[in-house]
Amino acid sequence: MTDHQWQEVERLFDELRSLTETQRENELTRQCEDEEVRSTVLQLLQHHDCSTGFLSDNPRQELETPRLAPFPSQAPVRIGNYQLIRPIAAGGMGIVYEAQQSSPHRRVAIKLLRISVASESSSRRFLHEVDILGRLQHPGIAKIHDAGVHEDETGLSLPYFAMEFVPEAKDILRFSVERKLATQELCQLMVQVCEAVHHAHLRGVIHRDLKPANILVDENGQPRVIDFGVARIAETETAFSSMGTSHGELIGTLRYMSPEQCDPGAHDLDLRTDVYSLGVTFYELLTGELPYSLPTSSVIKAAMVIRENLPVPPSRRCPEITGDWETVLQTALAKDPEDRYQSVMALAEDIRRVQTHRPILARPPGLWTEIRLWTRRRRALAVSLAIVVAAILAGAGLATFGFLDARRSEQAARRSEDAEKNQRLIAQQQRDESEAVTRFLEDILHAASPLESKHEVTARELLDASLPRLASSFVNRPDVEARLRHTLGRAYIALGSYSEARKQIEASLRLREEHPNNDPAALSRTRVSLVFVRNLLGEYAEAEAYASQVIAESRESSTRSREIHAELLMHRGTALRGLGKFHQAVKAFEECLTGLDSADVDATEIRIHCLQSMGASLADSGDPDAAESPLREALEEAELFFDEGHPEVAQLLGDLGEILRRKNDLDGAQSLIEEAIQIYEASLGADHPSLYGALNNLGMIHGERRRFDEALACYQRVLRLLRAQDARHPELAATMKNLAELHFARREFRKADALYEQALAMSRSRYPSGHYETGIILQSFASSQDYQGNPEGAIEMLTEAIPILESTLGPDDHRTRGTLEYGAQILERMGRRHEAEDWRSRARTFE
Amino acid sequence: MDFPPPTPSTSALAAIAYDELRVLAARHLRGERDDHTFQPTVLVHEAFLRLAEQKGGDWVNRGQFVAVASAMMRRILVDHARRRLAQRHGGGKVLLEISADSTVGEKGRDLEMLALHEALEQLAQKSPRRARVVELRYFGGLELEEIATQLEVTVRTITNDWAFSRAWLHRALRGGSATEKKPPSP
Repeated sequence: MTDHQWQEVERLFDELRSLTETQRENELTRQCEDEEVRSTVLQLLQHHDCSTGFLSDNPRQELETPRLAPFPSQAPVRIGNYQLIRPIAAGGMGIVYEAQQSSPHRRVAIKLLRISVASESSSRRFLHEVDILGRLQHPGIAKIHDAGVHEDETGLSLPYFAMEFVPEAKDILRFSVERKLATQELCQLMVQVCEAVHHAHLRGVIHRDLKPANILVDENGQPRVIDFGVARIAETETAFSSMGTSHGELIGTLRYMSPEQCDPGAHDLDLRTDVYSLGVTFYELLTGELPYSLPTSSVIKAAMVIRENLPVPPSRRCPEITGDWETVLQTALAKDPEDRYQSVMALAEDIRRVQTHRPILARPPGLWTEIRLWTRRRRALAVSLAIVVAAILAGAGLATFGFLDARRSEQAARRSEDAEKNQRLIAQQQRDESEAVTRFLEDILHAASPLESKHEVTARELLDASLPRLASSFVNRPDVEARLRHTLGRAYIALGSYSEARKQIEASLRLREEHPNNDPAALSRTRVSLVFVRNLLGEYAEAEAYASQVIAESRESSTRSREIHAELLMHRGTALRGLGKFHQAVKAFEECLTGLDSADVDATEIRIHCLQSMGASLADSGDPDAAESPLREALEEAELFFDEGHPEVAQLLGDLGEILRRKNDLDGAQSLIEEAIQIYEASLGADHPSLYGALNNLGMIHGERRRFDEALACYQRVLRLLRAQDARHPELAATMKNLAELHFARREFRKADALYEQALAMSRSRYPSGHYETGIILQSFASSQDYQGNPEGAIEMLTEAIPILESTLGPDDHRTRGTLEYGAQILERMGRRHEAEDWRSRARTFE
Repeated sequence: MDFPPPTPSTSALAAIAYDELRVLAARHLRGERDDHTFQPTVLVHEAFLRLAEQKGGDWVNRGQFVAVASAMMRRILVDHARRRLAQRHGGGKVLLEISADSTVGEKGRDLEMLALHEALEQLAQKSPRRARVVELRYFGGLELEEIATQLEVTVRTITNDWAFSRAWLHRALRGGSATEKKPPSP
């Protein structure tokens, strides 16, 4: 039926539905010539008439629970040809007895399943299945001798099979613990198990339920895999509702199940499910623990953990299981079967290789693979999350592999009579540290897992969640806590949450200063971060004072790092720039660059940042031409050094744009600044405080072009960004002033003046007195006052502004001179000729 | 910095809905409940209440939830029916008869469920909205008015859709000409 015909059918059906049968036929003949359409409509209408009640009740399901045969009230004495001796084991699926066969005369193990096979045909199928299993002939597989159906006293038909009896058999876990097997011996055993399972795989039999309980080892150390294919025989409904097994049993079985077995929508299982289960078993053999801690409350949640959580790195469970061992286990335990060993023999091969110290074939998944896996579930924020996780892991890496500084171990060695013993102690300490950090990490990652929170987790939330845990996780490890707090502080900076960042960095610094034994380089790094974050918060005076103090201290110290010293100089420069001391700032940046050139450190990033700040300061000081060359140099280096779309590149583009604006190339300026904003938004998000400079400058371009609405939008965004950091962020003052000018240009004087007042108050309270921003605001405010017919007020403001501008920008700066000229005009109009003359001559001194 | 309250994407909602439904369905199917029948629509509603009660669950709107959950329920029921049929037939997979419980009636219901599912698929090819209406009403238990709100069309349209879909499915399930099956007039 064509779409057109179908539409006709629908239309006619709707139209004719409520008519009588005769009317319908008349109408159909009249309206429709298409025979197919007509007959379909007719049929549908007839069905419509008798479909009342159809589908009106929602579907109902008879509750059906698979019947499970109860455990026999008393043990049977005989099953088939076998005389039962005693029960050996009981599980969800059935009971195992030790039994005696009369002919041939031998001990066997009888497994009696608790599922009834009601019909002839189903018991025939059972026997057929067992027959296939019976053909598995391998020393590592318990042989199945026989199978049958046992009719119990209540008349139920229960299938059983008779297997080779392994005397003194213990499951592989118990065996290895009791015999205290060394890793070498464990390897041997594991390879044997792999070979046995491989034998079955070659014959098309997948075990599906490999776990220590199903791998028995006899007294001679020969492993035997039991219950091949039983899982398949007993498979019912879903993995979850298996045969009314009790909750606990179900979770017990779940432990070794593969992620695909835990997936309700899973497709067919293949042999790689056995690879995974062996992986769990080996993990447990080697480390003594399972790769995940599974929630016991819910099967669904446990299954989710298996599907989604990464195994705990084996080295955390057992420090000796590192390197290649970790890679082997992680490969066996990969979530996606494609990422696993593709056969148990491949697994066995790598076990042999580790054992003989040859390179293994599996590639280590690496940190990024793990992060990728972890973030795959949180695609929306994967990028920022990856940054944060990487930041934290990098911090943890310091703790994990960061060797205690040489001095400390030397001292330790010297002090001790037994240096070796001390080395061991230090190694132990490192292990403890790394374990503590890993546990902490695991905790916060766990907090971010979808089990714990019902929505996507943001990077910010992830960091926030880690804070309360931090305090309690490292009570006796101030050094580790300090390190992590510092790392978190840097992560908060990356996210643009500066106040929280300062809190963490200050806490880290306190810890480091209270425990002075510590790494001096780490202490310096934390101090650098404090200066950095204070600058970001606009606390320029504090930042400058602190930076100067630290610089002075480090000059006296013999161990100072050139790199850290350069960084301090740079941040001090930024603070000076914020304070309006542009010339001093430029000097600090020059010193920083000189220091970097003479040091053989790889500090390209600092260099780029320093060039950028120097360019910006030169521009601020009123010399856009001089600013251009360091900015261009920085951009060139940045484009080589950073990936495309890095925020540092955006910063430089924005600065170059601002220079074009000052040179009145508004088109060029706008396109550069808009490019910068685009990069910022793509890399840091639309709410990141780093955007404020570029947005403010874009607002000024719009303002100059009298595109007020666009300008207004820019400024309001800036205010939002900065206020989110600190309601009294000093950089707010400049934008408020710009906003005031915008309203002034629209003749909205009351709004303009209110904003001027606010800007002025902000500038006065947040900058030291005599800050050039205060001067600039006063000058702008004065012009508004003058325009509104208040020349006295204007002159009062200019009188305050001029010395500020003279001392910060310099008496020769065109902005200082322009202000003087402007004041002279007002004074002239007011008839104060002398003063006007005086101001004008001051303005012209430097012409 | 302020972060907006989480607004669940449809896929996140689907994941949550599916999990909730599976928990409840599994509980029913494992016989942890006293009642001997379960109505998927009740189950959907129960899942919704559970979600809404949870902390932070207040973003869930019932219509929105049911819209997602009804499709899930359909999937669960169809899978369930398939699996049971597979068991009864041996299905090449499982070879055990589950006691004496499997009655002709039950098997009929399972077959009908699958037939309905297939017919709905066909209907969806021609008219996705009409198939959706059936899903929302039959598997989700929504009233026609609620469906209208959900699909942003008039109640009149939904009433027409429902009449048409029901007739069409009836024809598909009860076969060929309706006259044969037409109950004798009293």
